[in-house]
Amino acid sequence: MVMGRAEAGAGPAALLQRPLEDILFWRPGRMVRPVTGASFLRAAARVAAGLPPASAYLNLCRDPSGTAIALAASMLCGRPCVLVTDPSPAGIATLVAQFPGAYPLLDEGAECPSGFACASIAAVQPGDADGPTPNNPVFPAELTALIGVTSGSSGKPSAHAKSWGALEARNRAAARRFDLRDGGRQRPLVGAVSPTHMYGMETMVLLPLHASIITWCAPSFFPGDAAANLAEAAALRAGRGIATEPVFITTPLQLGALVQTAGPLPAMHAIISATAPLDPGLAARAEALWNAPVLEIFGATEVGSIASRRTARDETWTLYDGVSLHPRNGLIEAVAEGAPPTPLSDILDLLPNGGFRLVSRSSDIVKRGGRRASLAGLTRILAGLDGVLDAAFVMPEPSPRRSGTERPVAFAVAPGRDGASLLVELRGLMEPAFLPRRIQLVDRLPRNEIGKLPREALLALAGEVERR
Amino acid sequence: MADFAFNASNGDIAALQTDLAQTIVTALKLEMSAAEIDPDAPLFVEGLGLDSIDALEIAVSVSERYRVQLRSDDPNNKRIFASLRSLAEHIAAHLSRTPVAAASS
Repeated sequence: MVMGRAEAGAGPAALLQRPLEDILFWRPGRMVRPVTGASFLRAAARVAAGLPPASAYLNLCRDPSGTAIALAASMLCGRPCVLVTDPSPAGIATLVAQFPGAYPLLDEGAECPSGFACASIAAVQPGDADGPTPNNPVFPAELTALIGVTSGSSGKPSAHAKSWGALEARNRAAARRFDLRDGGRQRPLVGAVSPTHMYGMETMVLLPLHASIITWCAPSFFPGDAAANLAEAAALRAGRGIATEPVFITTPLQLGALVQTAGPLPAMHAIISATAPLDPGLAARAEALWNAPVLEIFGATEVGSIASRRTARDETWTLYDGVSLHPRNGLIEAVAEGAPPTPLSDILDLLPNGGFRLVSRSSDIVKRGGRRASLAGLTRILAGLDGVLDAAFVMPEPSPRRSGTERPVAFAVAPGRDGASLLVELRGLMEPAFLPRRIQLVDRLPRNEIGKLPREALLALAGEVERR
Repeated sequence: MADFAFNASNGDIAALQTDLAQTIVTALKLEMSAAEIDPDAPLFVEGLGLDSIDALEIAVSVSERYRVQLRSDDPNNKRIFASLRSLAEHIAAHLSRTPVAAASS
């Protein structure tokens, strides 16, 4: 496991960097709707005092305010908070094996997966609203606050630790980049992603701690949810000096769905996309429909968010303040305040102004629904099944209509086996997002003279099988 | 895609269910015919093996065809997506409240 180590220069920083009376989270339909800075700090202290001792805490919360309290309580206990993206019992068992002595934390009222003991994060309660001025803890920059885990395709999950100094520095840089300090004017933020995905954590959970952001705590997964929540958030103002234009946090997939079902949306401060490349045509359509800038974040699992661009207008990316890129041993290394230098797997062209152009994403890595896997790793799993002599996975070309909905296509040479039974076996071995619709059995794979499988040949084979 | 004309007052959920099955097969390019979907089998994971990206695709198709917006904060969400039959019943319930939208254009 790689632990984040702080670089020189990053100093201790307070958990909350906003006035105590500011609203951090808004929870529609709950008993206590606004979560203020003061009630957040009181809830975090209350939860931390009741946590069982553990080596780390697994964050299974789905509510952004609960996720934030779970993170703060873990930090108060001096233990890292592990982001859980697969809350199934199998997913949790994998994490407990990887982090012995780790303890799962759940939203209040959520069901603990059978076979585990969990602690419930009693979110902000009426009693948290009043009381003596709460303590605003100051954490050292080198404290390991978060651990993100990427799975799983190669069979070896890897952990990416984030120090408090790195999170705090990048959070301030994002607030500056997206103009979210706004002279103290608070602004609602509606997020369509999970708060325990790194992108959701950075935007929906961390921004409200340090920027003038009120995160809307209601699921916005479907286009219908997002439209309704944005409309409600725009109407929140209620004489409190709250801006009426919300920030919308989304992904290319969900933005595509929203454009397709295109209903009216309120005026927005910005639409922000990440997790997969955003098609410039889609960005332009969204800008034209809703008259808001569509901004795209460039990030990598290893380093988090480091740059952004306005996709409909800019080909090149502008680095966040405090981030720089350097060529080193044939790779590009990202150096960001508070984090160790990290080599990137993508191929970038560095520009004289300090920005960059993306030449190509690492071709072996496929992303689907915010999860990533390596094609080589997926292929190894299929090739390892009984009776499979040869195998291949390929990602089809993005569909012009809805980029991001494509599924990997799988081929196997497996005389004596049928595709359906191979697929059933695969289900237990890889994440659902990467399961092919079916296994296409072929007599042989189109390997070239040196045994390689050119992507074009596999795509041609996929087309041929489809036409049969 | 043409809108689906459906008269919920006839209680004709079977017709909607058949139409919905075809809509799902087309939208997700499933390797099966609409008739092969067991109306009571789970749509996700252990049944048809669909995932959240497929759910988003289904939501877009349902919105285009029936003018019904699926919501994830519906307390019945798990039940709505439990099977083809439950999804059809949910759509029918929302269609019947807005029959004009379903029959227009």
